[in-house]
Amino acid sequence: MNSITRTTLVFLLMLVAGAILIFYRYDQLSEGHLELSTSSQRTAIDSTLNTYKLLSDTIFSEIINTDETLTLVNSIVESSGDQRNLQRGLLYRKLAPIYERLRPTNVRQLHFHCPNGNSMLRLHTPAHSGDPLFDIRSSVEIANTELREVHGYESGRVFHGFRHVYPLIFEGHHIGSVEVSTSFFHIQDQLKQLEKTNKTTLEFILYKPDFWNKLFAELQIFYSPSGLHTDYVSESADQISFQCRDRVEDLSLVSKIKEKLLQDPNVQHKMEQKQSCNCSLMYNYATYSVVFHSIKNIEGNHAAYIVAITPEPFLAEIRSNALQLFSIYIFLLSALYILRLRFVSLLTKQQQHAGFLQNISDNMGIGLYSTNKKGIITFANTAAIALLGYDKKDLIGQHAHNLFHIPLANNTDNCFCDQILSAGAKVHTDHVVFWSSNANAFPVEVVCTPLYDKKNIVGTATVFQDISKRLHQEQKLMDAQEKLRKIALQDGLTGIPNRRSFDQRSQKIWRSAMRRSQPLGLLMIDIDHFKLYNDHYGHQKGDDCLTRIAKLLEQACKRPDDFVARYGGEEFVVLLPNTNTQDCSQIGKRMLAMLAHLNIPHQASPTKPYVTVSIGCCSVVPNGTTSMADLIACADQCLYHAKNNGRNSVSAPDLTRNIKTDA
Amino acid sequence: MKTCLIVTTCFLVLCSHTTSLYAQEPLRFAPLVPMSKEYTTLQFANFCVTLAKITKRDVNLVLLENYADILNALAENTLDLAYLGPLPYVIATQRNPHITPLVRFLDQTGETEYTCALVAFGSSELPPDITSVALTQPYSTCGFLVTESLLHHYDLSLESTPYTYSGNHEHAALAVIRGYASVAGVKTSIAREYANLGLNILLQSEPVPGFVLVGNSATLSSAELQHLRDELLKGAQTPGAVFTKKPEDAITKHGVIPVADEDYDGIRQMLHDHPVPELAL
Repeated sequence: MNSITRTTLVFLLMLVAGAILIFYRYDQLSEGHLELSTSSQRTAIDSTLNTYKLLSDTIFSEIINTDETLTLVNSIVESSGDQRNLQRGLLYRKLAPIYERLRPTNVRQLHFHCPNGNSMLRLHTPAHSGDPLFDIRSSVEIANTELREVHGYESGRVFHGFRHVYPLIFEGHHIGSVEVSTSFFHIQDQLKQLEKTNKTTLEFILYKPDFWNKLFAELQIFYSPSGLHTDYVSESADQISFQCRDRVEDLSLVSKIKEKLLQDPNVQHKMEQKQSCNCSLMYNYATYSVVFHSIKNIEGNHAAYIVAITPEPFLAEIRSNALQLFSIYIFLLSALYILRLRFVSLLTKQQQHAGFLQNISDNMGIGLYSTNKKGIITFANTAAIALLGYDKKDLIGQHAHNLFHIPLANNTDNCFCDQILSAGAKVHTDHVVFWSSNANAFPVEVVCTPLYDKKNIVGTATVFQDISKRLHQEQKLMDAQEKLRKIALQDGLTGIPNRRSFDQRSQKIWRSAMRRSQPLGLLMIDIDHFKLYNDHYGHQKGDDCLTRIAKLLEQACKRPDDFVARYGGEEFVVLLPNTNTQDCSQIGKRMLAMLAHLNIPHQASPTKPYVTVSIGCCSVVPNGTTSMADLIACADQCLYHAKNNGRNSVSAPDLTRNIKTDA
Repeated sequence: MKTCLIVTTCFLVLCSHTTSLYAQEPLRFAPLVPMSKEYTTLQFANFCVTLAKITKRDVNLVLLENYADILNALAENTLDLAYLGPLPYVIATQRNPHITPLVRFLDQTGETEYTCALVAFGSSELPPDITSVALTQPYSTCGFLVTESLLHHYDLSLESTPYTYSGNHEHAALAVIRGYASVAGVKTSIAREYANLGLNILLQSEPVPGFVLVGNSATLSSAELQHLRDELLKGAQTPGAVFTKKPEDAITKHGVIPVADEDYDGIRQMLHDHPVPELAL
């Protein structure tokens, strides 16, 4: 897995984690708000229901539970036939005006029941009476059998509502019961009065299995599907307006929200479980909370929901904040991701470059190490480790100078690195010896350059190579060169300097003599009848003869500065610094004597039976008007004289001051 | 009011969609004076669909506030069809000779006629002191018209006895039970419903013909009217509002029978003999 993939995975992970965190927080806030909203709505509902209970209690105690009313009720119970109808009519006559006055206080039903559970008188639908109630109205049954008050929601044949049923006791006898009930719409009106802003839309949906079969069949048309769940119905607008009062609600909004709730599996599940629940949803760019308050019937079973739909700007705000936060998070994370990608890209390139350099440094065959400002080794390549013989761990962190720097010069305490660090100059030297780990010293050529961080020197980089082999090769080369040089200036046969050597040396000697104003003598020597010797003895003997004569000439020249050379063929020259003509002549004669003494046989020579030479000698004090050529010409001319004078002789001019004149 | 308008609009849209193939001007049909416009709309929805199918024309339900407006509209030929009680029918024919009876409706008991009753509270005898008479409303057959004739049996007359209009039969009956009136004139069927409250029927009228569907021959051709009459009679259950179980649906639920203008001559005579003061033409 490469760095980019890793970075992308981390980015996605952080994105998901951030999204979860942000939306978890939003969800918590949202749920908290919804719970608060639910709780406050429930409190308001309970408070309103309690208000109506108090109102019902008051109606019962002040209007119903009076002697006059109870007497009428009792007379109904105790009578039958037309008499009962008459008494019922009288009860209606008495209570109808009161009921009319109670209607505006949202009392929906005032219903008397007989002790046997049959309907006695419905003030709201007086034409209907006599029908049995025990089988469909638990509250009536409880009030008439247990003789206790019952309060709670209950459906019925005509109306459903929040009922308050009181047993009627007249002169110690149970004479039936009476109920005062209120519809949800009256509760809704009261809730709306409680809520000043009045933005909550309330709807009461009834759980069909709880009431449908109780309802008078002709009243079923007043109920329509709730639009929220198939098990729930709502009272139709017609019924509501017909029986209560006109409700002004935004029906389109409610129906649209219902459509959304119908598609919400969570809400549907909760409704099937008959549980209270809440949710938030968006419609037309606005956020709404929807709270389902489960309403239990007298038996404690779920019977209906009060559905409260409330615009929730706070939820919209926290949702917006969460989205903003998430957007910012994405932006920052993306920026971080891009930067990281760029960094990874650069790092990869750098690593590739470093690897490339490492590869080069490891394979370049010369040592490379770097130090920090204190001379501590921070890096060493493979070649350096191999040359110095240390493990890498033994090198890194060590002081280079103390470990292996030994300069060749005497001042051994100075390190070339110190020069770098003090002057910032590059050092290139081969006057350095490094010590390997096994205490072997080896000469190295070192190039040490400063390392900069911006303008500050932070250390050095040193490239070195073992030059011991090179030095050895150089020495051998020098020796060979010297040998060649010598061969070039030496006569191969006789081993004395040759004509080239003479030409070079004569100029130097000439200039030296001229500087010193000293005479310079020159002997030009030629073996007599050497051709005859060769012819007679062969060239091998000829060569031996030349060698013996050359050695003789060297032996004849005693001074170190005297210079003997083979001039060509059987001719030799001898340069005699600081020697005048007379002395040159003496030296020549000595040579002749020595040669005679050497006595190299020469049977073919007409001069002597041994080898002889003719010598022309000349000496001048060099100045600006004469030259070496002049001196050679003078000596050569004297040699010519010596040849002409019978050979085996020395010929010299008379005066040394003017060679030309002498010649 | 807003709810009423929305429901009415929905109904009209429903009708227009159902009969969108009908290119002619829609029929204007006035049903009962509505206690609740929504309820009345609901009651007559299926009947409107039936009318539209027969006539192949869209049907607009015209909900007018009272009988006077319905009769005025018929007189002014701004209605094509109307559902009328016996007295309004007689008045309508007097004001517009183009008003033609089409069919009569049976009530929930299958009867083609009904009776009116004079009722009192707690006794089957006429109270000795008639302080007030409760009537339904001026256009009700059981209202001034029949009650006046019933009172004549006791040598009484509404001309000399105070009377009040309660608005409908139920309210008139309850006015007696509550003691606001000594007697009331209501439909017999209504009176029986309140027997459990001590309401007694003192006297019943002769049967009067039931509700009638009328057509306006000034706006509809004879052929159209005849076709409508034939088709409604052909399917006795055709107008049935099967979707509703309300007693009021007896209007359309229990079928129709042929009708003749002469069926209402008795009412016409009664009106002649005892003109309703509030309906002075």
